[in-house]
Amino acid sequence: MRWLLRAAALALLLAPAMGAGCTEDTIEVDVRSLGRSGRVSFLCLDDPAEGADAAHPISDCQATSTAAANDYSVPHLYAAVTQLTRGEVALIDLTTTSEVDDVIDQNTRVPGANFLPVGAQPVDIVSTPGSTATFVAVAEVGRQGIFAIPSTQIRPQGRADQPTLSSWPACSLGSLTPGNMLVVADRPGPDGGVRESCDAPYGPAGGGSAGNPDFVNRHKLLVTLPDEAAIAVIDAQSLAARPPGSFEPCTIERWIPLQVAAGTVPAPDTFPAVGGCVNPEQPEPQPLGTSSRPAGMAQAGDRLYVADLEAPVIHVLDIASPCEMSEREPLLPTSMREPDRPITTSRLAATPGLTSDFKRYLYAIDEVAGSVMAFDISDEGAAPRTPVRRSTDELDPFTFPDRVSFSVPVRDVALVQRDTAEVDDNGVALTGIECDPENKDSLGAKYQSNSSYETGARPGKLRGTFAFLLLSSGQIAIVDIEDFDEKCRKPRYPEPLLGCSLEEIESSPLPYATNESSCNMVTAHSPRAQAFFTWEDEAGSSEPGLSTYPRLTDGDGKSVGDDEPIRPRMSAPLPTDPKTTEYAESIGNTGFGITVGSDRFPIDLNSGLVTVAGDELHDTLVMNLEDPHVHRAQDWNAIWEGPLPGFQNRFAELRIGDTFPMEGLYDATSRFCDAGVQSRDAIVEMLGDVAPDQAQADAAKYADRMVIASELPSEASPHWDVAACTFQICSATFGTSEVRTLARDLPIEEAYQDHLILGTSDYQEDGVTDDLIKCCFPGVVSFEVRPAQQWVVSGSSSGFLHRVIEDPISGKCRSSCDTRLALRNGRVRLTEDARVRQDVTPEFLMNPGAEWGTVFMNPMFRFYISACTPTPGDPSDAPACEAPAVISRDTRFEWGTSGGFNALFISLSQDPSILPEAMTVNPSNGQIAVTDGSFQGLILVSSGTLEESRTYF
Amino acid sequence: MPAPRLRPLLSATVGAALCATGCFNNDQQIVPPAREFNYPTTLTVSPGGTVLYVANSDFDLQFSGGTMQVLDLGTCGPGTRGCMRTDALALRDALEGATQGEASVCGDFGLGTNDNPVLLPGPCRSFPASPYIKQFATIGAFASSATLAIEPDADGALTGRARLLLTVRGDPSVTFFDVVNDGSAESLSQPVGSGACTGPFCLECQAQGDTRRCGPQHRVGENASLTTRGIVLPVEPVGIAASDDARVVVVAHQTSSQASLLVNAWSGAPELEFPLAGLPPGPTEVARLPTPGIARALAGSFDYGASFLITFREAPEVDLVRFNSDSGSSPSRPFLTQASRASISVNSDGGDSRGAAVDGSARAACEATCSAGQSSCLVACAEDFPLRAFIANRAPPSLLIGEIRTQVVLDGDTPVGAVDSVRVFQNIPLSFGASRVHIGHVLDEQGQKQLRVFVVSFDAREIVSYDPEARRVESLIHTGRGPHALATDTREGDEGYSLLYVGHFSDSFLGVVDLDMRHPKTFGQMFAAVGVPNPPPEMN
Repeated sequence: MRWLLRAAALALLLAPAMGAGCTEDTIEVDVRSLGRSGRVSFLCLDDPAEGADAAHPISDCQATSTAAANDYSVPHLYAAVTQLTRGEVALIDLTTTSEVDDVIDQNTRVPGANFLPVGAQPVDIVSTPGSTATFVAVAEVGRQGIFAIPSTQIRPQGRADQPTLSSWPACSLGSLTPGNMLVVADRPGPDGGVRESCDAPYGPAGGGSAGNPDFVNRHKLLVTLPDEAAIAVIDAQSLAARPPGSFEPCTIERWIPLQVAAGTVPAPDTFPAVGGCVNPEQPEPQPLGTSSRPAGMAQAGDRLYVADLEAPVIHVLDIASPCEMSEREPLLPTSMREPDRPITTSRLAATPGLTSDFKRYLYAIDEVAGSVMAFDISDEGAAPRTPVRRSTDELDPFTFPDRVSFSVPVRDVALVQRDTAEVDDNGVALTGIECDPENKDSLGAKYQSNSSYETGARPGKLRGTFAFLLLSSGQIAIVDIEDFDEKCRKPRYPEPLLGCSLEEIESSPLPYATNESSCNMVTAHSPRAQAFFTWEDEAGSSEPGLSTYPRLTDGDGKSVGDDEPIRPRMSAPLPTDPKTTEYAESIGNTGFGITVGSDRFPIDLNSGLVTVAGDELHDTLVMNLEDPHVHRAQDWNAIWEGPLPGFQNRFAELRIGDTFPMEGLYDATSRFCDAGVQSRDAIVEMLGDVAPDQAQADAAKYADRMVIASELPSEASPHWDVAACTFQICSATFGTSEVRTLARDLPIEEAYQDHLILGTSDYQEDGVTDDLIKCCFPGVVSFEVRPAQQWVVSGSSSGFLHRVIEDPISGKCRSSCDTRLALRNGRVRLTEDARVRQDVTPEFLMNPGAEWGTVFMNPMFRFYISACTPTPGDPSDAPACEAPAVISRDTRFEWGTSGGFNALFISLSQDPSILPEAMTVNPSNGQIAVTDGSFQGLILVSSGTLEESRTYF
Repeated sequence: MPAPRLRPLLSATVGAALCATGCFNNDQQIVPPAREFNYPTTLTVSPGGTVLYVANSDFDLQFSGGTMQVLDLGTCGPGTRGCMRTDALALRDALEGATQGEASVCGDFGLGTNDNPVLLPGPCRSFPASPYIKQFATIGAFASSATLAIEPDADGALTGRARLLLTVRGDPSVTFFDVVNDGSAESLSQPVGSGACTGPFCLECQAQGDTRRCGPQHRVGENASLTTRGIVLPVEPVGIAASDDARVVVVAHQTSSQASLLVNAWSGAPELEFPLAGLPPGPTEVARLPTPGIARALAGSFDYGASFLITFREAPEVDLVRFNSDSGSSPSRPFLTQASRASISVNSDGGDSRGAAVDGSARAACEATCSAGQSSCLVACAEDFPLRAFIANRAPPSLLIGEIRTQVVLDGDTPVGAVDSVRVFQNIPLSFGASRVHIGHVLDEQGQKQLRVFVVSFDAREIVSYDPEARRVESLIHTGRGPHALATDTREGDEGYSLLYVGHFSDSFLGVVDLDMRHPKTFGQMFAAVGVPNPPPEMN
């Protein structure tokens, strides 16, 4: 049928073009019969000539196809898709391979695509398990109701006329606006009998088509009523049996008001206050609320889970019998990132069955954050009611362990269990077999990756339980829940530096593992990798490393060569445990090497540098491989006294001089704590365990400086006519904005979110008084904040990492005590030790004492910068630099990191207009069906090949 | 019959390019039609609902400028015909009770049956516009957006003077009109502007001659010598919004990555103060953020400047800018700063945002429960009730939903300031050509006001009514060609009404949509039109 539409469109396009003289090239445009699509349900139907007997259970429509739409040698699988703009339901034949008859025109006598009218704002659609009828909830103001489309009437062959609104039995909900729907069975009575309504006695057993559940059970529609905070139970069969055109009130058999249980939102974690840190604000215990607005639903066995857009709960209902539903204790969505925000949820999905460790999970979308939380719903009594937390808290401070998030919000979620079983020696295909990395002849060995990494365990092969997350940008992300191949996705020589557990280390070697560079390639409730994480060429060589060695340039931008005798050096901190060193050497420096470009080099275990050909030295760092998920290719720099990012284009009031009692810099929008400003007093408090004199001296030396970046008023400015200073004095003292003097620096004594308290200039004795500064820079100023005597490390995509927060009590900027943020670091001091032997750990970073800032570690790598070059091969501890380098401001190391972790995404369309609306698992074959709120119609994705298999529009 | 259009339609691009500085057809002096619409771009209902201000843009440069018109919505008594609103409501009621068919009803109103419901939805032909237009003034070409600034009293009640500010790309200027604050009985009787006019139809801009062209004193941004920084208004002013104290006005400039700051002084003309440069490319729409109650209560000792949300046509980003009075300097020279920015990642591109609106009704309702001097209550309202942001985005067409959270800065227990941050977290698919966003109200079955967000899809000729509480599209309103400007006119109660006026840019007429759920036959439909549709010459 679409060819007709295409032809018509072409004709329309051609007409004006010809009128203009036939000189224009014509562009063929795909005319789309589907408009804004909403939700989808599936039906399995045989030849329409069979009437009511054409309806089949969905499982009867397996992955078969027919060339012709009217070839009913096998039952056909249909998708019923709501059309939001037109208030219709489109029917799509998923079995036929014909591209002409797939989208069914319900009236071929009328030009264009004709669908099934159901009224405006069709908000949900469901079909019965036996495909006898489809129900559409309609939210049109004044005409809210539910329409039933009998399967005998859903195809044009079953009808005489073009369908109209009055072709369907329907019921009115009055002023009640429906939301989501679910079909559940009212189980047969003790003798197998069914009842016509919840209040009717059980009658005889159901009959009809053998094996069709629609004729064995009585089905109920569970309809959420968001505005009423309730669920209505409506008998599906009674509704479908009403006469066409009826719109009498719906018979609501049960009304289940959703409760918001008394209780409070769980309090967030607190952490030990060490090293002058502060805990984030502890929100007041908040009641869960009183009002509810039910949203998405998910069924898991006898439990129904209902998301809530109003209250921070996920309702749990016992639906063993839909006529006797009861609400249980709810799940409590929370957020470690935003503990004071009530977390509301939009859509849900539950694992279809248990995992191999007998777990069952519910995934819920955080409505505002667009992230996803996992709940363990295996055991109502034992499992926490709050989201599952991953175990890698400190290793990945970019994500919070209680949710999965991407840079794009998650629109919908579906959970899939699948396996591609290998056949054993007896010809039996067993499912659920774990990959075996240790043996060659076991059944699990059949799942090992081959030497070319093309078969067996690999990122693109899904065996186990996975979450498919539909992103609003038009991609599907995949999250690991349980991967049967996880044990083979390991290093062959597990060791601590690769994030391996003691059990994994003791099992070393793993000769048939994929030899990836981390033991945590597959982590439950984490994004799945798109590629192997290894330096093996055959597997794509994506281990994170350096794209180039760090390059040094001085403050004037002049390159400093590796052979320069006096220069700062960036080196890898050396392990302190001789056993680690010994082990690293024995296995070829696996965890203590670095990939540079396409080659991998060992790091010298005495100097921390890369040595090539005996005497060629290279600055380096060492990558952290415990958690692969943190790595992204990007450019980095470490700048001596570099400016903290975030203050470009900012203007602030400089309140100094006699006029102002509180000397400082004021601008509420600068958010100094959020930018990571470290004041003198913050350093003093951080060094609480250090001798007070030393702490004060360090604080004075290392406190951040506010640097005035403004230009002086021009020499011709009338300002100089009335000012107490002259342009010449100001110019000589402060220089220009391009060539500044250090007189523009003012030490930051204390920092608050909205202002800085400034100390007097280090050059006060030279005449740089507050009054002179204010006189030379009247009005608002632009400014920078530069840490003193430190390197500022920032990445092109990660930015400047820090863990400074606003002290909820004093308002001062202080480091957070949250140990999960221990690796959020962006500063490192220069050390005058030639080498640093230090096992950098999150514990050390949280409370370093006098050693603060000597070693740098962020989530991706670690290094230190020495004022001189250590001697390779010299095993002595911490020799002092004999001739430390003197470093000028803006001297910098620059390097790039390559490789890293890329999450596995499936792109749904190359068309940027895609606006995915909903995602459903096709119950007959496990395909993922995505509806598009734009014009892409219905997109099917194979969960086996992880590619789009077909698009219907 | 409308005057024939004499010149072909120029495209917006060509027109804008030709008219970067000062552009209307002065040489030929073809006077713009005072009693017809001509590519209307803004609609503004007066605070008391007495009049509707319509800005016409002269988009095809057919005339010597655009116009600002004042339409009589409701000076007629209840049930009396002759005003635009009363006539429309009478037609609606007649249609609802029609027993003889709609044609008969149309005839009763002297309208005739509508024979082109595709281009002009509704059963009847249009009401003529001329009888409703009570006043007009001539302005430059390419009027873009308007904002109504009303002077508050010491308690924040909007009882003082009123000023309508309009961005005019052809000048470029912000042209302002002193108008009556008909929401205040006291102001209604006071003369406006220079004192030459009283009554609801005042439109004071020192207009000259028969064409009533606005005087230069009412075109802000043309004279650099009047500014403290020696500046003129950058080219292509489009979006405009005024703070809720009517003192601060921010204008977006779509070709220069800038936003201008004007400070509105009631004793004289608004003054151009500062151009904020360095914004992402294509600043388009400006929406006011309601000032938190705690900032109003502690004004003087609380650091919070009027803040605005800005959208961009060429960057997947929304920004918050904030006013700073520069009170610490002498002389003070107020300025704007970028307070917060959020990337748009909720759809595949996000790079073409148009209209925007910010809703603070939930926070306001919370603040209304706080007793005087109860700072902790106001702080809780500010922090617990984020503002809601709604943005029309074309890449792809969608309504973006976000929130603006306010964090109060405390000095000990004392609130001393607040900072806002914005994020966008959801999209609602729309049809092609998403353009303007307007927040208004429908009346529910009980006649109570319920908040709705109206989003125009210019190309698709649709308006979506979105219910932000229920998070669902409530209705889809079909319009004529080129719907653009929107205004709602709502009164609660048994005798209440709620109408949506739709300015049709392409065919130069107004549509009237019923937003009262008590009238299911007309609810969500364009049931009436004002002004005879007049397609551009190329479409004729």
